[in-house]
Amino acid sequence: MMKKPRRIAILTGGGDVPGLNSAIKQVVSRAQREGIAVVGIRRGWGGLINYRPDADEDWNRHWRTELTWSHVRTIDRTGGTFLHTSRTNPGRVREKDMPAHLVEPGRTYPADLTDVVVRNLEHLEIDALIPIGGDDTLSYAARLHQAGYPQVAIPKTMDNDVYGTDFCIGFSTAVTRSVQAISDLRTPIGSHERIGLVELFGRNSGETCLVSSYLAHVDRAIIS
Amino acid sequence: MPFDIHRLAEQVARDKRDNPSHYAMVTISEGAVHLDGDIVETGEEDAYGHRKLGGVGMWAAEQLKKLTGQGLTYQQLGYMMRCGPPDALDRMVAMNFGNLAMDLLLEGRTGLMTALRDGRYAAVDLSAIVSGVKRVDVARFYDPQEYRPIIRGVENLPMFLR
Repeated sequence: MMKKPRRIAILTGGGDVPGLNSAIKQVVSRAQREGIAVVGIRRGWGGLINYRPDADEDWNRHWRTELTWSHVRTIDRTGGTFLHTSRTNPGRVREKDMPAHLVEPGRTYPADLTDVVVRNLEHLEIDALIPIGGDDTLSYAARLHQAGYPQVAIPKTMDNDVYGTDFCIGFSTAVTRSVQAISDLRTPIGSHERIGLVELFGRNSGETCLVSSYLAHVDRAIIS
Repeated sequence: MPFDIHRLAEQVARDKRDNPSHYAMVTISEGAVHLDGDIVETGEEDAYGHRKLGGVGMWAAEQLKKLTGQGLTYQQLGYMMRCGPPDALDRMVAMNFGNLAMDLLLEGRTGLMTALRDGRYAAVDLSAIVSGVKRVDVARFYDPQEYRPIIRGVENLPMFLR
């Protein structure tokens, strides 16, 4: 069991969903009350392979930022993530995604940059990390956990397909928007006496389509 | 689970005929697969080996139009589903997941993921994420012949049906 952290970091990876900013704001609010400093890692795991201990602020400010109450006070009024996001997987970095400063002759791809991630977290003096993501982003969190780095992950995805939780941030709004859109589309489709076919996001889980179709009372639903 | 476009076309034509307002509404998941087809993906793989899904709806739309002889409007909701601010439920869970993450860190508990289990906030092993795949319980909540959700017997089920 680790002792109380003095400094933590938070990042958001994968597709943006509504609610990420609310989670970030709550973490910063709680941390500040407890006297814990928070660093926002920008562009998901990308921030932790692009941050350079030897670089100046002009470079590093693009990859991490200190977070205080004044930074997060208004962020929950919008969706998405104000830290930005990426689909970077530091465990499998392709040659074309390799940060220039890490390119070395003889390196094989995809490259595992977990040592870079750990080194950068240590340089930033981060005691624990809060990664927010879907199953892809959090599969790398599990990899980093194996490497011994303390983390508490938060699941998000509009597909609601992260194993281990009944609910992920973003699922409810995705269903709400879908039900609203299907109901709204009934006016032109009804007026013109047509068949309406609505394609919904939902990767391979099918839950978003199933629940939206149930709630909007559609005639037929093809789930994945 | 693959679907049969011919069966769907017959059902939808009947739905439209039987509807007093003379229209029918159908949804299709971007990951749906036709009996004779593959999953429809575009673009190149991301770092996790996934390509963008989407396009099966366009194909199904053309087929339904041809098979039913009826007018059809196809709409891909796509990014509109995750635009804008969160609804109250996403906001509540996001804030409580943030709260829970801080509770756990303050207690020195790591290697965990915040979760909702049976309607309760919980902490689960971070390694759980890669130990399984979360899928709809098709046999329980979906009729693959009629292509409809079948939700019943909900007493004692968790709020998020599972």
